[in-house]
Amino acid sequence: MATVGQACLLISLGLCGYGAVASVYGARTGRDAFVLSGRRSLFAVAGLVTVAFVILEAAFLRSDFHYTVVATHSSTTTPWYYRLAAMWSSQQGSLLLWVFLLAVWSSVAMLLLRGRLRDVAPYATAVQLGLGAFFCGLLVFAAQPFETVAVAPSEGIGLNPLLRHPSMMIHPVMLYSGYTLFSIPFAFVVGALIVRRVDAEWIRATRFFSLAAWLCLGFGIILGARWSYSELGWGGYWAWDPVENASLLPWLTGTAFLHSVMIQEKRGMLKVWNASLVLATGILAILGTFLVRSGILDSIHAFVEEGNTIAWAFTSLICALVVTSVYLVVSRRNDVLRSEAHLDSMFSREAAFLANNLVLVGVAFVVFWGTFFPLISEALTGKKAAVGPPWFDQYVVPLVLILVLLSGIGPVIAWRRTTPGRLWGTLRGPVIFSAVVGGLLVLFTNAASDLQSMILFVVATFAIAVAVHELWRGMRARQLMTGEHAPQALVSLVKRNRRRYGGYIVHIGISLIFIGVAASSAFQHTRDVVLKPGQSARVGGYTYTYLRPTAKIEQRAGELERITLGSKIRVVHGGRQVALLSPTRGYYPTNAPALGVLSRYFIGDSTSEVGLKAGWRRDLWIAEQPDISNLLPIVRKGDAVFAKAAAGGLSPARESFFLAQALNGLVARYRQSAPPAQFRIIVSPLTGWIWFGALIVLFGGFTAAWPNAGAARGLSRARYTARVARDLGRA
Amino acid sequence: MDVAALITVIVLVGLAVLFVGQPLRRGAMTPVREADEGRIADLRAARLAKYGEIRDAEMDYRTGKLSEEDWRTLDRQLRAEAVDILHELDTLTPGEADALQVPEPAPDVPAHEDDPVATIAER
Amino acid sequence: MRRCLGYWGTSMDPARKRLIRLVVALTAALLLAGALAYTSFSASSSAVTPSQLLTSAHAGQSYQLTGKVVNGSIVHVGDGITFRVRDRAGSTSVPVRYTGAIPDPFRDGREVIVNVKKDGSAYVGEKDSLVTKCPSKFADPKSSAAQPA
Repeated sequence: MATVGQACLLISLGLCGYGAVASVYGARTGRDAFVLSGRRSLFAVAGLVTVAFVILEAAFLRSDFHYTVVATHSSTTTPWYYRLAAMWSSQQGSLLLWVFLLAVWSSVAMLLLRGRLRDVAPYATAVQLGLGAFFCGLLVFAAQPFETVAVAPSEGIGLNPLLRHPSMMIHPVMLYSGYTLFSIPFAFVVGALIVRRVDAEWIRATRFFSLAAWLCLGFGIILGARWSYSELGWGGYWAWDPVENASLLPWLTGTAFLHSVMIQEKRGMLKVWNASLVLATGILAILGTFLVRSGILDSIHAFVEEGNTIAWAFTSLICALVVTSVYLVVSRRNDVLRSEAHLDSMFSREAAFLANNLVLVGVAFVVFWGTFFPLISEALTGKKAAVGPPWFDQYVVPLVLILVLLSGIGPVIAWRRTTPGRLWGTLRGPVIFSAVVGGLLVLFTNAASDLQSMILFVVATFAIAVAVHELWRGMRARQLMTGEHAPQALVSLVKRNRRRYGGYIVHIGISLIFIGVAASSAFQHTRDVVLKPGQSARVGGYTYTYLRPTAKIEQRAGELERITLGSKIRVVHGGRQVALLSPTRGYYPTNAPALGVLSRYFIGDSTSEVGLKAGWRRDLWIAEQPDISNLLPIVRKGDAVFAKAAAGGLSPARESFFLAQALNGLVARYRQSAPPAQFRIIVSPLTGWIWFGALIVLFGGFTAAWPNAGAARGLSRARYTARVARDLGRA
Repeated sequence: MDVAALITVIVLVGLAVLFVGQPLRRGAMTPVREADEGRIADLRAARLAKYGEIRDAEMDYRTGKLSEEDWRTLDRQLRAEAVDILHELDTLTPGEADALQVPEPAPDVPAHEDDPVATIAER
Repeated sequence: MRRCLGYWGTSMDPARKRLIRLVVALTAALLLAGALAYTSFSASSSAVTPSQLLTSAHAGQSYQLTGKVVNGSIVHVGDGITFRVRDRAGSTSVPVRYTGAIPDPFRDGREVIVNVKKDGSAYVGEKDSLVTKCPSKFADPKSSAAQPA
């Protein structure tokens, strides 16, 4: 089967090449047969890559250790759903996932856009196939997923326990879907620029995929943040790590595009800007993939095993894409990309959107500069230097404040031109409301102690108030026009203008996220303490008491998966128990032959399971580092005993029996007399608002993206009716 | 490479070639392409967008963002722009603009922002 | 050319207004970019390897040290740890004293990034700055037991 998989990739590589050439040839000579053949190549590639994907996943599922990739990233003790995810924890599997998603999403796009943009589509197909060829080429020549060994090892190394978390199954798929979906607008803008047709139809076609990509990417980023918060032992969700930043960059430019494209649609302005944004977003998506997989930047995520060929290949691709993009925009700037209108007034929605774009691109520039600073400084000064999170915060936070403020002004300001008076008239309500809320915060909380957070709270409240007010006013207007009941009016209001009101819902969600971020960063209480059973610590007004130690041996599929040592923690606030938390640490066995029989259960990888009680007002978070130093001498003595017994001819069955007894004894000993353990305790307010806000954003995005069924039907009906009329006229 | 794998690969290659080559074998059957097809598609899309703008402007007025005077001016301007689009569309595809005056049947079809006839019928 | 009323009430040529706006915007962008670049150079810490640290570290300055944890060097001391970091390919190593969050993957042989300041002959790690690279494979490939089935 492995050869079939490899063959599929090789055939796909060939088809990508053929399809790209056929599409371009067909487009240039007007021979539709070649254009159709090129399109079919895309579908065929999708089919073949799916076959390869399924073959590899099947190998992971049945733990076929003949496959090198399976043996080095999975094991029989890995649960089956994590085995599926283990595929893309490897370099080769990850690239295969990327090209699989690229092929599938591109095919879906071509099917949905069938019949539209007929002159642009062949070039777009060629671009997609070109990208496909690149990744298939990597898979065939540099990182083969279907490498096998003649003699399979009896057990695999297993999936990194840190990655055994539900979020980690979806996070890479979401991120890669975001990246590959952004390649569709990219492909279409390249095609549109080539045939010199950058108009209303192109906007309609690409906007849907830009929104879908934006949603997937955003969701993937949030999942990563959530995983970091609830899995890793540091209690944070964002570290301005280079790879995190790399996924944020296309999301930022994508957000800018989703706003500025409205200006192009309504006024025919900003064509150069929009084309550049879409091109930049596509390139940044490839760049993001490159950063994760090449290790050129020091990062927690940098996986650089089979580095250099891949790094060079990506660098060449990105350079080629940049050069092509710049050439296309510059050469078309005076014909198709020329603006049809100009900014009438600084008091207009166009100006507000333009400001929004500038801020978003500004944030993207800051993030880009900070992320690549080690390379920039090395190029300029010869020394590699890095900037830390405080530098990023210094610039990003004020820009975010402006952005949230704009998201409150944009929806209410009229197109083309309005007066300050009229603007104030519509904003008066939300401004007063947010001022009142601000006053309440100052009086009844310590929010004023951090100025930037305070400003953000007020501004975010303003933005939410504006969005809610808009929904309310729209609902009332609809009621007056149609006499519907309020809930019905609201639903039909949103249904008739999904993009606008979906957008307002997204604004509400984004504001909630930033409120959560500000509160949980500036008003967090953190303490690192050492506690022994019975002791308490007071953090942020909550009393954490170490009740008793816990210890457990966890099994899976008849094998020992891990030994879990932890504690039961009671949290009390104002005399009442608020939570019972169970932070633990899981110790996973390792197969290292140098370690003794008992040692390998305690000196392998360990991960913390965080004790977390989430709530609307605050999160109670605790992570533990148990002290096993009093167990280790016993473990080493046990190693010696087992080694001697093995030399003396102990049967494997009896060894297992005694081993189980020994482990049970150790675990019981920990339960009875655990030494003091290290704890990190965090009380952070409003953290839950981040995840809740993200769900609102998702809901709003879906609403905005949902296609208007009536429109498509209306369009095709009209086409047929027109054809009938024409034909009748001819007859 | 074992026999089963070899056969599977040959079958896959064959299927791929058949599938991809079919349009070529069928002959260069160029579908009936309307001249200026790109321009027509753009005009149709622009028309939908313009109708959306007209309705948005009315919404802005009803929710107090525009004064009545500003709205009427804007409405006139937008409708004039829509007429231009329809006019150009009409010259490229005679009969299509007329065809859209046919009232839409099926009351269960949700009237939509992009459906121009329904808007007219609504008022 | 149509003259329109600017918002200051003075009559201004629209093309000229656009030019002024463009100049203002570009100037603002350049100023911000300049501030960005300047602060990044002054706020950054040099990324160094252990051997570079030994030869060129100045006391009191912050450095971003990258390297591998020397096997057997991790010792728990009070509420923190001490360990040695060596070059990725080599054996030159430096001792580091560190308090703060210890990432889960932190172990012998793992690649780490930690911000340190020179203090005498030892290096003190900045609190919570220790980052351990996610190993893409579970265990060190050298220690994997590839036993025949």
